[in-house]
Order: sequence, then structure tokens, then C-alpha cells
Amino acid sequence: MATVELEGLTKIYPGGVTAVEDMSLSIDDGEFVVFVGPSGCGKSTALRMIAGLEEISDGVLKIGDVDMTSVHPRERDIAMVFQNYALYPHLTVRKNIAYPLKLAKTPKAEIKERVERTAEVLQLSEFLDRKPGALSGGQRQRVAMGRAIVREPSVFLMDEPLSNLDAKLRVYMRTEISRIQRDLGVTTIYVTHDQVEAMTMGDRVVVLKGGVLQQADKPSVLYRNPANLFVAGFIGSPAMNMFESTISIGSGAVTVEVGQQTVEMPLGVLDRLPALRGYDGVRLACGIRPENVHDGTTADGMDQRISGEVIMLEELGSEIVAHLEVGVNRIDSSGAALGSADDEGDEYDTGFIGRFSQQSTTRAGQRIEIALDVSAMHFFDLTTGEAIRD
Amino acid sequence: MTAIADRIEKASGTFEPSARLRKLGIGRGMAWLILIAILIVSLFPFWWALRTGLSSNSDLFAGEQSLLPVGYTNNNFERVLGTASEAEILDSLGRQNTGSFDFWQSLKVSVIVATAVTAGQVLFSGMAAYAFARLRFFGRDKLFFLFLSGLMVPPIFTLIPNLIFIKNLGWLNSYPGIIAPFFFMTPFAVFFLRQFFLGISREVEEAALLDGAGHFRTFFGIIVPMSAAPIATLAILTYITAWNEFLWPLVVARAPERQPLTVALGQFTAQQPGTSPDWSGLMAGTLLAALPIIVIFLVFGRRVVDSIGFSGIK
Ligand SMILES: Nc1ncnc2c1ncn2[C@@H]1O[C@H](COP(=O)(O)OP(=O)(O)OP(=O)(O)O)[C@@H](O)[C@H]1O
Ligand SMILES: [Mg+2]
Repeated sequence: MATVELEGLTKIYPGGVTAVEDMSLSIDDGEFVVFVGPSGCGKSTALRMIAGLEEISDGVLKIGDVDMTSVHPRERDIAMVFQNYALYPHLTVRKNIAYPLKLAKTPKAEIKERVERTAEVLQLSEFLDRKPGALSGGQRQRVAMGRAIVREPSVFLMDEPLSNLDAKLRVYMRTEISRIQRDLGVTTIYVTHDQVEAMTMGDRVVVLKGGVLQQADKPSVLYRNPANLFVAGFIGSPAMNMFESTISIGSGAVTVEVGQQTVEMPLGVLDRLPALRGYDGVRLACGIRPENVHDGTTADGMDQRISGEVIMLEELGSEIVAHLEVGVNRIDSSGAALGSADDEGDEYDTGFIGRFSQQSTTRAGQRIEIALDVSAMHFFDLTTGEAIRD
Repeated sequence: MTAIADRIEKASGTFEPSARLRKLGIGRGMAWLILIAILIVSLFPFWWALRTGLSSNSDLFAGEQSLLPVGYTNNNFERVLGTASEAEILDSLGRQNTGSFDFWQSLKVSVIVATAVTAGQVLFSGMAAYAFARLRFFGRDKLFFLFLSGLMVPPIFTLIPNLIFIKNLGWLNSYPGIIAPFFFMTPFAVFFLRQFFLGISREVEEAALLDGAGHFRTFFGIIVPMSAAPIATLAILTYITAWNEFLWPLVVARAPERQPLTVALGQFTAQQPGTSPDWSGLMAGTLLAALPIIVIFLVFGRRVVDSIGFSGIK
């Protein structure tokens, strides 16, 4: 059990690729932190620096208040679970799990006892005398977990440990890992590129992009208060509708342009987001999540409405995902206009996605009234991509 | 989905009879005939050696022509093994046994040399291959390339320098002298194992590192067991090569008690000035000398074939 402290951690690979840049983060004892981000953003590199598998180019790493920046991996008291499990194929499950204890010269009787206890926790007891080759993916995964937890290390590191499992098993193992982590109370850093996994498992989620930490916070905060366009677009599925807009601050309300149309927000928004005053008449980015885009006929009490055409509906049973043409200029998470690169464009460059309640009776091709819950509108600076938050 | 699967099943069902027909078809028959012919051609020398080894010299020189042994006798084998009496020798050879050698001593030399060379080469090549595959050190890849270019040097080039070196060490006529040049590693063995080590998942080694294993532990505890198959292949290949090595022991081991079978058999034919060669004795000796390799073939057949397939890259 230990805290983990990253202070300006940087990795420059030979050849000049900066994979992680000036990453600072402090992780509490027993916390479950998830690193998430698109492929190549430096998640694995960051984790491997903490493990000691990659040299740290710059910055300081502390585990349990001890400077570990250039300490040999085996002295860091960490255990890692790898994406491809990395089991020893020539050893039985029992010996695989016992391996770290054997190297630590643990007495035989104690090894036996700890291995068996671990196997029980992971429901592996009946497989102890098999070799990894004779196990299913999920079972191998659990052996890899077993080898990590049997050591009772001060930190667990896991690099996409579930990505080789099928969807159902993945969901199951997700809760298993969370449960085991909670029971053991070991500080854990978990890497994934799946934002759903990140949001459901992490006490805290760290979003990385291009080697730079974007935001590190509780999942709910990340969702409600994304720090920038990237986080806003990355977290949440379907993704937030983000579009170019201009606001004008009038005497009674703030008017927000939605394509050719406008909606109004009460002036109270300026108390919540005073910085918004500086953007009167300036191009900025607006964002609204799909669950705040409703079918006008079923949304009572929401008076901010625009009209749009239903392009396509995906019936999910519990709700309907609606693709709507509303004539906005959508932008991607880097702030670039989606339609600008090629003139053709499609409806996704100018539309919204909404999550309609199942009561909605709209059909594709119809022109309908769309209700927007403007109180949940997000604003971003178009040049920096930063959220306008205060 | 199931409809498609059904159709595929049906389709393959109708294909089955024709596949069976093809099995018995003319093409297959031809292939078998050709294979049998090749088999006969390649096995014939062995048969001829056996046939000659079981013939008596005098009947051979009388010009008997037969595919079967002429004047059948197992005296030649006994002679080579040193179990024949003087009288029997005189009887079969028509003279004193001039071209004799101590088969058992030479067999011992062959076994010791081949075993030591195999053990040394596999061990050191393995470690070198691991270093070239995994450890990070300055100039590693250049060094490997340089090392590999050793493959291009014909062994005959190094014969004389090696001989002088071994002589200066005072190792002529000794086991170390026969073994030394092959003991450490060969570019081929290093290349062979490195290729395999490169294919081993890095994650497994990293897991071992985090579990607390150092380089040596990782190598002997994880890498070697994981590479058991290619290492065994290399060992067999090395053993056969070492067993068959002729030139080097010929020059360093002049003393009969340090001559492996290959050299001793060569001496066997050379030792009879003025007399006709003892063909049947030679064939008997050759067969006996090849026996261990034949046994290896029978036991590890599959693996030997694989290893020869791989060494084809050479
Ligand atoms: N050994 C290396 N040498 C040079 N560049 C590397 C090396 N390993 C990774 N990189 C680069 O560093 C960046 C980050 O890689 P990293 O493996 O950390 O990404 P990741 O976030 O784990 O991605 P993924 O989700 O695909 O696993 C990438 O641009 C990658 O190309
Ligand atoms: Mg990765």
C-alpha cells in the first residue's frame, strides 16, 4: 500500500518521440486510477515508467514517498498485469502464481498457503495443476491477476488487461477486478483505451492525449465538467455534440446560435460562468450531450427549441438514438470544423445526435421540433480548446 | 446463418467422394512410385555397406557379384569390435590383421567430443543469442552483423591458425585440443537461437523482471524452458555435425587413442601398404560408427528433419 507521485514525468524515446510530456499526478493510497486515451497517447509508456520497464527521461517518480526514479524494477514493490497475460507457458498455474514468491525466497509452506488462498479468491483452485495453454482466455487473465496479487505489492499496474476477452467476460472481469482491488485496498493504476471501462472502474480517471495529461478527476466530474474539447468529446457515448457558435449577451438573456437558429439561456449562466462575458460576439465552441437533446413532443417544460430533420433512428429499446440534421458546423475534439476539410460533408458534419425517450413517435424523414436542455450546455474557447468554466 | 452453414456442409459432403477418389488416383500412384524409387536409391548405399560388411574379403575379391552378402560372415564386425581371435582373423583376411584400430576407444573419443561440443555450443550460443536478441548494449547490432559474417569464412581458412594456436597451448592429442575450436559457439547456432528468442514475447520477460528475476534467472528459468524445442533441434544438429567432423581431429589428434571414429576409420584404410584394402572390415566399421547417428535419426526423426529444413537458410 502506498501513494504514487508523478512529478513532471517525461519520456523521450531514442529517435526523439516524446511519448509522455511533463506528467504530474498524485495518487492516494488505495486509490484506483485509470489512464485512458486514444491509441498512441502514451498510456502504456507512462505505466511502464512507473513499473521501471522504461527509463524515465525527466521528472521524478515517488512510490510511498520514496524516490523510485531510477530504482531497479524489482525493488519497486509493484506487480503488473500485462495485456497478453505474459504467463510462463512451461509452468503450471500453481508455479506461475508462486514464481514471485519463490524468487523472494518465501518459505515453501507459506508459498503453498498463499497460492492456494489466491487461487480461491480468483476461483482458480481446480486449475492449479494445469498449464496456461490449457486454460481459456478468462482463466489465463485470472492467473495473471493471481500472480500479481499473491505478492501483496504496494502498487498494481495493469495495461489493458481485459482487451483480449470477449465483451461479456470483459464486463464480468471488470467488476471482479474492482471487487478484488477494493478488498485488497492496493493502490492501482489501470490503463485502457475504453472510456466506458475507465468511467465504470476508476475512482479517478486520467485522460491523456499526445502524451499530455488533459484532466484527472472523478468520472462524474469528468463527464459534467470536461476541461477541454478533447475530454468533452472523448468521454461519453454517443459523444457530445460540439459545434461552432456565437453568443450574444442581451439585457434579459444570453442568446446562443445553433446553426441558423438560436436558443436563449437565462442570465444566471453568467454568474456560473463569469468568463463567458468575454466571449460576447466571439466565435466559440458549444457542446451539448445527446441526453440533453430531446424530442420536442415528449419534453415538457423545456422551452428552448429548434427545428430539425430526422435522418435516422436507432431503436435501442430503452431509448432511441436519433440522428438529426440541424445545420450546425460540427467540430471535432481538436476544435477543427468537421465539414471544412472536404466540401461534400455528410449529415454528421452538420447534425446533432439525440437520445430520445422511447415514447417518441418520430420517424425518419420527418421535420420535428427538438428541445434542448440549455442548462447543460458547455462552452469552449475555439483557439485553445479549453472549457470556459469560470 | 445456419442455412449457409448447412449449404457449406452439404457442399463439402458432395466433395468428399471425389477427394477419396483422388487419393487413389494415378497422380498419387505415380508419387508413391517415385518416392519408393528415391527411397531405394538413398537406402541402397546403406545396404551395400551392410552387404559388404557381412561378406568375406576373399570371396569379394574372387569377383562374386551378388546383392546379398558373399561368403556370409560376421567376422568383420567382430574384428572391428576386437572380439575376434587371431585364428579367425587369419582365416577371413588371409593374413595378419594389420589395419586394426581400437573401436571402443575411438567410440569413447567420439562420444566425449560430440557431447562436449554440443553442450558447450548450445550453452554459449544460447547465452550469446540472448544477449544479441535482448540486452541493450552499445554496438550490439553491428557486433552481431560482424559475428554473423563469420558464416562466410570457410572453415579451411581457420584450420592452420587454429592448429598453431592449439599447438602452442600444448593441446595436441588431447580432448581440449579437439573440442576447443567448436566449444564456444558458431555464428549459425547463435543466429538460429537469436531468431527464436526474438519471437518470444517481451512481456513474459518483463513479467519475470518484475517478479524479481535477473538476467540469468530469466534466461535459465524462463527463456531456456520456453525454447526447449529449438534448443533440442540445435543440439541434435550440433551433435551430428560434431560426430561427423573429420578434418580437425585428423590434424590435431595424431595419437590413435585420441582419434574419434571418423579419423580412426580413415586410418584403417590407409594402414595397409601393399595389400588390397580391407573393404569388408571398413564397411563394418563405418556402419558401426554411423550407428549412433542412425539411432538419433530414428528417435528424433521429425526434429532432425525440421532442423535440416531450418539450416537450409544457411
Ligand atoms: N520503443 C519505442 N520507441 C519509440 N517510440 C515508441 C516506443 N514505444 C512507443 N513509442 C511511441 O510512443 C507513443 C506512445 O506509445 P504508447 O505505447 O505509450 O501508447 P498507448 O497509449 O499505450 O497506445 P495503445 O492504446 O495503442 O496501447 C506512440 O506514439 C508510440 O509510437
Ligand atoms: Mg498501450
